[in-house]
Amino acid sequence: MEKLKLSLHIPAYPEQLLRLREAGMLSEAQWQAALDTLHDAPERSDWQNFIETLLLSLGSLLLLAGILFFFAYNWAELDKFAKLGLLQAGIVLTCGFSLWRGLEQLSAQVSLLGAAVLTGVLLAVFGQIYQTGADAYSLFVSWTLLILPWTLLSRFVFLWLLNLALANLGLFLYWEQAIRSEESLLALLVCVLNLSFWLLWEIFHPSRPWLRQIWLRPLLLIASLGTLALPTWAWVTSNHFDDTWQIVAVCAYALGSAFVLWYYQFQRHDLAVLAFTLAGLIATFSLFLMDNLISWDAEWNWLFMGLLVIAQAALATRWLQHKLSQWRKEGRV
Amino acid sequence: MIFNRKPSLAEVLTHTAPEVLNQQDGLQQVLEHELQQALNPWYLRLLIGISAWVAALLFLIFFIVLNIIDEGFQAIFAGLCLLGISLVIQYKSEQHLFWQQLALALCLAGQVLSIAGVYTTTDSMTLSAFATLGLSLSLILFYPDSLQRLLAVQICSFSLLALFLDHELPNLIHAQVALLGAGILWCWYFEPQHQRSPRGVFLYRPLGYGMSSALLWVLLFFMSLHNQRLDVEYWFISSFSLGAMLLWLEIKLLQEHQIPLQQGPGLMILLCSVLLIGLLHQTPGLLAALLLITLGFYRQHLLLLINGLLFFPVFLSVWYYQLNWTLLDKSISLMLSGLLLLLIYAVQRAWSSKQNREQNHA
Repeated sequence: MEKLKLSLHIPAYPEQLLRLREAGMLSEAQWQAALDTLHDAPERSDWQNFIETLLLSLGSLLLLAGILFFFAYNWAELDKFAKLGLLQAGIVLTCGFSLWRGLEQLSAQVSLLGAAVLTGVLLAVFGQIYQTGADAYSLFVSWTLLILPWTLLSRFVFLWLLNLALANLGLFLYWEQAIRSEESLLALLVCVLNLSFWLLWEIFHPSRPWLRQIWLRPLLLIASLGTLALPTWAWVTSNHFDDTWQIVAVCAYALGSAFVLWYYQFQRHDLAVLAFTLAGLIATFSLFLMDNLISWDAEWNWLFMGLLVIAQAALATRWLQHKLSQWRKEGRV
Repeated sequence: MIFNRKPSLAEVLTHTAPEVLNQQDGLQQVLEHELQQALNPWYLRLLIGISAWVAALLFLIFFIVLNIIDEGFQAIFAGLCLLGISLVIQYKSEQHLFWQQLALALCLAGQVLSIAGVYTTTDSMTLSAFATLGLSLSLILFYPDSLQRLLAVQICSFSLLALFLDHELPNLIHAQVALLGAGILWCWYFEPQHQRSPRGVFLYRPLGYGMSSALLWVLLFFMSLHNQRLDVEYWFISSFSLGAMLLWLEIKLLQEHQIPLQQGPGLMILLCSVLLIGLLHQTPGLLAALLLITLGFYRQHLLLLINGLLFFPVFLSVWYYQLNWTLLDKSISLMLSGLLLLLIYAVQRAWSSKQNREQNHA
């Protein structure tokens, strides 16, 4: 009885009600009444709120877009100081609005995010006007550093993500344009950068409500382990190590995956992280088999690989479903 | 904006048929498929789906390297066989998510093979497009999978596009836009009626979502196209047809809430909508997005609402690059539209405040 009661707390759909009616468990009147409960049409006051919000947001968006289009029309004729001045005015206005509203308000946080984006645009226009010849990485690194104080003050997760994305991009471009060395070392550095954010999130999110978006955990772990998967797959398909750093990256990927599977199975309980980690391991193992044990001259090997993918996915799914049932019984999820 | 939480099955049965909750075995048996599906979070379904599709691709390559498929007729035959196999798997394994996804992947592979076979045999885009339409419409009717039905609607829309482009008649898109808009209204406005139909209940959601996506993507495709031979003219035809549908919806909603159309807020809403349609007559994408936003809120479907909201800025960005108007004309149109909406907002707020004050005095 307890198990069934838990099971019925799923969203109600008309197809389920039709099945119950066809099975004779609901009378015609009950079925009609049940369908009526699915429809909770908005009240007049709900419509009023909706229309006001829509008018304000779409009206502002259309007006702002019109202004942007107008400046774009006149952009080529604008003086360089006017171009820079406009962008700086935009940054000042958005920051001023954030300050006036207070950073605990969502509108203020979004406005600060706008200021952060405009900072990048300002740097790009500056580079375009003065043609300094600097590499692209300097723009992204400067952008990351300039918006860091706002990121620290904002308590807004999307601004943090923007900063992290810019840091990743800056590091990648710096490596490609300035260092031009072993790519496995780059993968390790990117992994360390994203893992640092993951570690900070795991430490601080219980005490910070604004950090409690649970989707951040799989996102940060994918960004970390995912970068190590690339040199691993390169090793698997080439059958030799390009350099020492690739050995380190492959070992780090194996150990990292094992740690994640243990930690999020027994210490914390996060099925999404387990699922994504298993997906990466399945892909790696399949690539390994394809490249090392199977000759692609034999046509039947394609069929064999297809069956193998099915088998791995079925096993992984079975195990994950078992874990989920177990955690639900234990009240962990 | 307020979105009401969807009721759970337990809540619905508690309110309408509480005695059914005592029939544990019966409920478990009748709803076994849905209860099992509820065990699978979206990322689990994604993992299963991707693996099924990879497996189907590997099977397809197996067929190709075996040189079974050398000619068009062989491809058509192999494609139809795959479709048959997928139908059998679908009907036999209704409760197993993995086999459902594999069946879906085989179904798509079968469609690709069949259509490629038709094209190879006939060398005619027109015949291939008609074959695609016929196949997709059949699958909508007979293939019991919501995702396949949703994809089939997209495939139908794009095969119509292929027809128009092949015959260099891009302006026929206006008819397609009008059809899709009417279809979307039919699916979502008449949702309560569809839910009471034994057949309609399984069809209206995938068709509705399919047509909503198809409308947005079709408009996006043609608005992004910069080809003199294939340039669409007279965008106002699509705008006015979508605008007419939006006005119809607004009239119905006002009547539902017993707001008179000839005076007060009702008249203001209708007049301003007409003005807005006139100002935005060159960008039907924005009106399509508005239609979806309104329908999404009315029927409390968050996905529909988000679809419309996300495409609003996308269409604005695409319109930036269109060459039918200068940036100056576009900027004036947008600024006037924005000011109109903000003016209505201000008037609406003033009226609300006045009504609240009158109620407080009363």
